[in-house]
Amino acid sequence: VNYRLLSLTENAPHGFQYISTLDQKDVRRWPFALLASTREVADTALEPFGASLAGIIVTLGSEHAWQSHSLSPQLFYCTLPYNLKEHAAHLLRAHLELLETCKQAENRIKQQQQDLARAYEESNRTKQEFIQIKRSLVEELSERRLVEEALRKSETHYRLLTENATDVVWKLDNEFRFTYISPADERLRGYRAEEVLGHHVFEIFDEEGITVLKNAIRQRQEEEQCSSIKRSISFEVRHRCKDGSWVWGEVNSIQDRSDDGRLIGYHGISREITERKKHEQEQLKIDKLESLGVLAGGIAHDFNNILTGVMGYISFAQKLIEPKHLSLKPLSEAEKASARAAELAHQLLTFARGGEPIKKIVSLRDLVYETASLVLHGSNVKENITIPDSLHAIKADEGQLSQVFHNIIINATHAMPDGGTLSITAHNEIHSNSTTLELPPGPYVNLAFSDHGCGISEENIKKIFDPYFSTKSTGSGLGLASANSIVNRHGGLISVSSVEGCGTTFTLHLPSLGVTQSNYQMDNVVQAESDHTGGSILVMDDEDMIREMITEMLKYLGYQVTTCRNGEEAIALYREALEAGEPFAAVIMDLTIPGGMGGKDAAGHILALDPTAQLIVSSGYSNDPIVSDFSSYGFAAAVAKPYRISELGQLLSSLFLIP
Amino acid sequence: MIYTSASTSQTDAYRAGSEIGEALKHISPEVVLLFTSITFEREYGDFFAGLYDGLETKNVIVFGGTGDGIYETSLTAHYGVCALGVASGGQTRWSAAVVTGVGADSSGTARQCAAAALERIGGTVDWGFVLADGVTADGTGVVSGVQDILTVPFIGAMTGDDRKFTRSRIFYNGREIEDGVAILLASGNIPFITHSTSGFTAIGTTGKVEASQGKTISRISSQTPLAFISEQIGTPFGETDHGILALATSCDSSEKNFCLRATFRINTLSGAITTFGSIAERTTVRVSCANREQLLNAVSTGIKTLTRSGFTPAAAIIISCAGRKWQLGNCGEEEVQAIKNAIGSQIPLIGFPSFGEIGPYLMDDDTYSKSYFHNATCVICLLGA
Repeated sequence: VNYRLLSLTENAPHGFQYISTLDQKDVRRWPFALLASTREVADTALEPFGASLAGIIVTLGSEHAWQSHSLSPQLFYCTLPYNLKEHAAHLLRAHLELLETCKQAENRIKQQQQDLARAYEESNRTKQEFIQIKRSLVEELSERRLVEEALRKSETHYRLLTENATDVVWKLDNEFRFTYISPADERLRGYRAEEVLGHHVFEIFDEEGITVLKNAIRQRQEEEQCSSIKRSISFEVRHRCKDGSWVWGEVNSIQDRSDDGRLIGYHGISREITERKKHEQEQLKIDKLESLGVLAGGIAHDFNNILTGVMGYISFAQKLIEPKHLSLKPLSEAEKASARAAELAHQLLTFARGGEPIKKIVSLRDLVYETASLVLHGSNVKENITIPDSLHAIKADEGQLSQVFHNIIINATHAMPDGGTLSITAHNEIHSNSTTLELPPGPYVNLAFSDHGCGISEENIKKIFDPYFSTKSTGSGLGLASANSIVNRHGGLISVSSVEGCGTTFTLHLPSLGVTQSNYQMDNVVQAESDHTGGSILVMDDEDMIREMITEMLKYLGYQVTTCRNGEEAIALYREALEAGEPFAAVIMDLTIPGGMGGKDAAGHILALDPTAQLIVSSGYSNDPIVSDFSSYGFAAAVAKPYRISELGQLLSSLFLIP
Repeated sequence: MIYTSASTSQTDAYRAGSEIGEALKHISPEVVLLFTSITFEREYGDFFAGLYDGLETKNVIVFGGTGDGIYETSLTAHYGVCALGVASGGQTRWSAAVVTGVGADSSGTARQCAAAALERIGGTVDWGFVLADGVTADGTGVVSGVQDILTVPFIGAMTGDDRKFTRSRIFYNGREIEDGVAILLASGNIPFITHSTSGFTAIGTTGKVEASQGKTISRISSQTPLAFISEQIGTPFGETDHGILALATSCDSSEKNFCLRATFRINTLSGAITTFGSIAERTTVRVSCANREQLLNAVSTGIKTLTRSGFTPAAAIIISCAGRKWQLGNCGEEEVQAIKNAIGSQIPLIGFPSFGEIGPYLMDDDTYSKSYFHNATCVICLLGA
């Protein structure tokens, strides 16, 4: 304590240490008593040491007094009476101890304040952390609720989709047993879900289907070994129905794996494709028919060319002999046989290509009788045909119409498996704008085929003209569809009425000429036989026999004839004759020239040289669109092979009569 | 080599300084390592006045910094001052240097500081101690910069405050330095042994840092760091996990040794995280964690590693992460006590809870790895006589 009794006065009392200047170690380390001559002297000496001093500034005076110093709460002024000067050390020592105690207490308070502040901060931090945790938990709970809600909605959404889907949605475990199947399966196969769950998937397939499935699984396993990409597998199999029938289904399946990648099953969708498979099979049939048609078309074309020679020469021979010659009848029979052969070729072409009808004047009565007797021959169905002589003639494609009748009559026989009568009636009719049928106004013939068979249900009657619709297991579904198409192409209409269990009537409305066939032909024959004008004719055909036959026929008819093999030669010959001022009166052109320019292209070139050129198209493809619509291609007329000399003569006469 | 340590929780700055000075004066220290809490902000002048008055000399290197508390042989506290006086009797040469601006260029500033200290010592370096401002500096950069200059193992720490992360100080010969890096080098007779230990265990799968800028990491293995960590721990990673979870970054080919990067801040919008120390892109990381027992066991194991070769300690320096102290829920007494139990309770010991630790691993063959920057780690350095 002694060295803390400091004196700035030289005559320091006992215990005080005289110092001329203070250093901080004197006054800042411990509480001090500083004796100075005046308070001002002491204040000046203490000023450099800041405000945290603890001590007593002692001055001598008349009486004992204490006063706080403004610099520090632990700094005091003390005035000691002169008479106590020698006792100053003793008097102040207790005060200095007290100041040190205060200083230490102050230190402890500060430490406690620090600790308190730290504890408060820690507590606050803990509180903040708690709040943060609570907030995180609340957020997590809210998020979880939202996720759960979204999941629930999603589940509901997908359940609705799954349970109302037309396709069957299913899940299998890793042993291929059903763990879920959607209600669509009951609609498709008739099994309720509880009848399917737990059953092995193989139970619903046939042997072929099981093999397909095993192959698909093996293929996927092989793919997965080569690639990490997990693809779905797709295959088509037949599914067994509860009633024992089978439906085709397209199956798409993907593996179901757990979070750790373990295979836990399969899930997928099955879609019924029975109709598609049927269509595919029908398309296959159509493709086969098309191939057959191409073959048939080629045969018919060549056949027509040959028949052109046969018929041409027969008809030519008939012209060369006397009317009462004994060979006339055999020739006439040979011509009829050739004509039937030509018709057969025409039917082949119709079968092969369909297309536009090659119309000519047709006796509907003959055609109906001929077809009915042919189809019903040997069956237990009898025909009862009532067609008046006054029935108007129609212009139609005989082959195509025959096919229509054939199809309708066949259906009638199928409708009456135990036999019966097919009634065929016909009458003339006039349609005006006011009639209910959607037909242009004009004269028509009405031809009705009525059977007394099983009839057609109300549900099926709407579909009978749809392609591929058939109620017969062996039916192609094309018969009535093609009949409807042919009648429409003839500008007519086909309708049906039926009472189930009573019978069916098919009615055809076909445009007519408004006159009977005999009247129509008489007018034209008279005209045709009378006018052979002569002139020069160019004949273009690749067949030598046809060129020779036409040459003979035309010469007989009074024409000069030049022949050529192809379009190039025809153009050159036509140009030559034109330049010589002696153009051909007409050019008969074959449509198809193998390896050379055909009639269509050559006609274009000749018409370019001479727009008034009279061009006649001739083809073994009698149903070619160019033959049926010759004028659109610049031709003046068309003649389908084979033809008779009379037909050729009529054609040329009518051509040259055209103003 | 003579050591003596002292500590005080005196709140009067001058008194605290003079108490420390007077306590160390008797060995006439050549160096005073000084660690304090942030208690004397704006009064460090008074503190150093008291310190030098107590030491009765200014011919001494005073080197230290602030932390979140102090460790000393007789006192472990949130607030206070501790110091270690070192006297070699002239057998050890010392040099120190300080450079500011470490926040802007941690690596460059550290390199510059190390070069200056090395130049001053004028010979081979045997031991080094690095301090850098833990609020502004990037410890990874600091270590990298120092390693460019020094080839010896060195220890060190990032200075800090009382968990506010707002300011820290480095002490250098009576001056308080902000935003600085300081290095103390010793050459000559200075026996020491040191090791770094954490007790953390890497969990989950390894990720690769794909995008980082400074201490902010924005993508790990094609995910946000937040998503990556959450995926690894199986729960959302919140701010409350600060100091508990760390990313273990690969140090070398050894699976045993890894450096930790504790999370300082989470950006919940972007999913990015800021760590106490940068992680370079393409570094592989794993989420790691430790419980209280693992932290304490690590210190016990670490000190056993240091003493296995029969090294006789005469003093100890402890740099332990402030996060460990928070996780242990006290002032760090248990860690210090474990060390004192191992080396003897009378051995002078000082240290502080830091904002980042620097030190090498003592390998099985008693050689050192290079020094690394760590988080959530305890670096123990024993000094011999």
